[in-house]
Amino acid sequence: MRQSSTRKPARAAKLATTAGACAALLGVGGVPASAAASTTSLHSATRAAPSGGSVTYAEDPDAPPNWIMPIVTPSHLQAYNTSNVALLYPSLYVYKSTANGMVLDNVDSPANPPVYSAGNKTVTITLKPWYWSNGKPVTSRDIQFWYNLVRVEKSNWGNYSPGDIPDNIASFTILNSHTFRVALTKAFNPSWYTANQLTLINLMPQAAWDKTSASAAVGNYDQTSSGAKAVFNYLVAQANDLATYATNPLWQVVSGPFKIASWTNTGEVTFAPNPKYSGSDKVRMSQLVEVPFTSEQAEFLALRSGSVDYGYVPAEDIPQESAIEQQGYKVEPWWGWEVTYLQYNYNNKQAAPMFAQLYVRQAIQDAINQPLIAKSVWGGAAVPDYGPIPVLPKSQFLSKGETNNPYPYNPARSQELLARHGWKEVRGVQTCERPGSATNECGAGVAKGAKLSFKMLSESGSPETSAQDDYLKSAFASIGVSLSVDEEPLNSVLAATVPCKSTQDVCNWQISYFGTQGSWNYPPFPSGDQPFLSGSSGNLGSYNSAAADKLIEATLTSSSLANVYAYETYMAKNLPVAWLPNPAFQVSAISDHLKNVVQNPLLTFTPQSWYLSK
Amino acid sequence: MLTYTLRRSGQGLLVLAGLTVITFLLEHLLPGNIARSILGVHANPATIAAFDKQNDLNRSILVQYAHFVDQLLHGNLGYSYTQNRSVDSMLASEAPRDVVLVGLSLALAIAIAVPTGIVQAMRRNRLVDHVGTGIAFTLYSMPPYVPALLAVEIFSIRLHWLPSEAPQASTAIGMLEHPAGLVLPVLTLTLVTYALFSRYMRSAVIDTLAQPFMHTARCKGLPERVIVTRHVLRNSLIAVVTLTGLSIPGILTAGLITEEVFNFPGVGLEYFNAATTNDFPTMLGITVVIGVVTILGNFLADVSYAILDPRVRL
Repeated sequence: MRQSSTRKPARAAKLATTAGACAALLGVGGVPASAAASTTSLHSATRAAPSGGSVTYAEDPDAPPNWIMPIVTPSHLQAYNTSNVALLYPSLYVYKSTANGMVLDNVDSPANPPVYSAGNKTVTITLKPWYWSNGKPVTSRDIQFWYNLVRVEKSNWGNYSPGDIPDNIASFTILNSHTFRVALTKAFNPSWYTANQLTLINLMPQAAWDKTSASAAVGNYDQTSSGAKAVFNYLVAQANDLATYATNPLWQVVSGPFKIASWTNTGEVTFAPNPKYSGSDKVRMSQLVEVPFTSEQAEFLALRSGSVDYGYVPAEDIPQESAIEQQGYKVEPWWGWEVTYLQYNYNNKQAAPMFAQLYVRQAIQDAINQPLIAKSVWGGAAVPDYGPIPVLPKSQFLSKGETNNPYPYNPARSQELLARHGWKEVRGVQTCERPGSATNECGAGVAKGAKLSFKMLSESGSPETSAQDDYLKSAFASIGVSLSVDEEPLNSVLAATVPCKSTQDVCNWQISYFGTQGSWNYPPFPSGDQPFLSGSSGNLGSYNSAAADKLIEATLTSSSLANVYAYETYMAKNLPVAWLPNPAFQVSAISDHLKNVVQNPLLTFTPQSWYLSK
Repeated sequence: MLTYTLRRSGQGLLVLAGLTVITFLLEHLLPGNIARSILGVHANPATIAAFDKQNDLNRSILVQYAHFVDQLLHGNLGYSYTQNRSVDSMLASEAPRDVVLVGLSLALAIAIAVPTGIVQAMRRNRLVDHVGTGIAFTLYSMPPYVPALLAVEIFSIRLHWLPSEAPQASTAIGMLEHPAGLVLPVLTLTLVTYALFSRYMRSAVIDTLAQPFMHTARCKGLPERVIVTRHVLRNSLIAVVTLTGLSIPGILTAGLITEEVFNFPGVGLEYFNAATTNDFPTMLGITVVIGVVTILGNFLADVSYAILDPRVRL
């Protein structure tokens, strides 16, 4: 099953300096600019490539694109929406994955690299000479327009996270038509800020959109809070009218490589090249058609009948890979920038005392044979995950602290750990025999007679996930841990997996799995401030570690990559979650005639670089 | 007749009201946080609060229900949490397409099943009956996706005669402009539906043939053609009419498997997806519409009884 949970769009970023005013440009996380920042367009290869042709792209099942405004509201923040929006209204900065790691795409980003100053409390940005499709230039005022709307309607912006942008902006100053300065509320790690904050900014045409009704003249309404709210509400109302996406004059003004040719209410979207696109890579195809599907089966049948140029192979059909390849497709996994895990609930009354014990978490992790799951359950379309940084694609963030795998499969060690801490198998379930806080006892809060018996919520609809659940039950049972699994639709699992207090009824969940397409997807800089920082809304299990908090904070404020490694090593060893193999976002099938396709781990796509060969 | 119509309409409204109450309550009894389920793991208290406010989820369930009924009485079925469109527009777009696809197959199935059932009954326990029964049992016992997948495999993938997908036009008329795309889904649904109707028709004709008035008709020397068309058909159709009445709501929901295989987004699939994504407005809106259609279908079946058999007193 393909999930509908929010996925952050790929963003671009540029790396900045560390100490003092402007400094050397760095890739995300401190890779030197010479290695990290890309100055070669993804599409440079297309310049000599043939033009024309219609490309058909398969949408995820029951995931018809249904949003167009660059400020994406929370209930529409899905990858299929954000990636489409980016084709029309690019982010200020764009990132991509290269052999050197996750780096800023200097060529395709509409702005020059940001310059940090005043101890990393100020950032100055200069826009490139880009134009809107109506011929007007992209200016600083367009960025200010975005900022003014988001500032007053942040809770209706899907990418909003309390404390982050726009909260961390103290002031926004236009220096000239193409340069603006942003004063930050405190010093931030420039790599993190560019990658995870500035990438959230989209270009929005103030000169066309700053109005409060269709008949009103364009003004400067966004300069006041009430005016900005009125403009936001007007634009949202227009974005709520799917039937007019292809005809509403608002959405005809774009700065991205494509413009909308048609948009049906069933989700079939046709993009045509934007002839005024200012980026370096001009679109070669004559049109891009995104086709909706009601099921993976329907998509696969269409793929087999040859009516799709870029589709996907459902997991259960991966054994037919060679047949698909013989039909003229290249089959390759699309690795997302994400990690996958079992989420513990540290506030569940029954389970929390046990989850709080590191040795219990170690025993569980030791019992999980990740390479076996990746191979047998996922058919190789998953990679073992040992910490909070994605193992694939390779990046500058990955250190030996994680890749060395602190807890390789060793069920004997699991049992030894439990026995050493006063647990004994009674009728097949580990039972606490020696309560107490000493090093050879069960641990604080664990009562005599307590059993290692847990309930797990897991998403239904995926044969692979069900097989993995079966494996986990068996693996846990082999060390005397009882696991009962309740499979429900993904949305139901997400509804139940909420951060909670132990006294709340909703806190009855103990372990949750929602990772058929990855549990947590990252923006370009894979920091832990959302999934693992104490009190963060993304910290679903209420993991609480002062040491982890300190390490996470360091990654947000200091530019040294060593801080990321320290955080990563600690989390790999401390096991806030049980790490599991990370499945590919999808196994793609790409027509042999479709060239220059790059699958961005940030889950956006760049069809402007594709072309059809004869 | 008028009194009967009014009484049945009143009953229908009561059933509908009960249906909305039960559905509304059941949906709101589901555990977990609706906003979190829609917004995903990246949701935070601010966005959750905004979502709840926007969708009235921060108000009591009674107020929410009252608001729902008020909107319903104004012809507004609600706004989907996930699809960025109203349930009205969703139904206006997809129900006519369902009517074309499923309605066409239902009509074809009846058109084939009625004569087949009559022939089988008239030649009971002969070869033609055995063959017909075998075909009907085979089709009836077959899950709908089997003939659907077989049809695509043979006619689309191997022979390339027909498209694997139903017409993707967003309107019913647009669909009819691509008849080739209709062939396989209509064929699949027709085969599955035909099996059921033919069995009912065969049984009904056998029952009718055993009635005393059939002997009278034959003793009067009426030709067999007249016996069949004037007496057998009319008296046997009641069972088929009942089944047709019950099948009318199925026009909107029965094509789920077909919709999945033939990439045809219809009301049934919308309902299924809404149920799995906790999209309550969509579930409620479709429930109401299907409730209305069910009541109407049964009402029409009852009226048809009286027309077919004057002995039935409404």
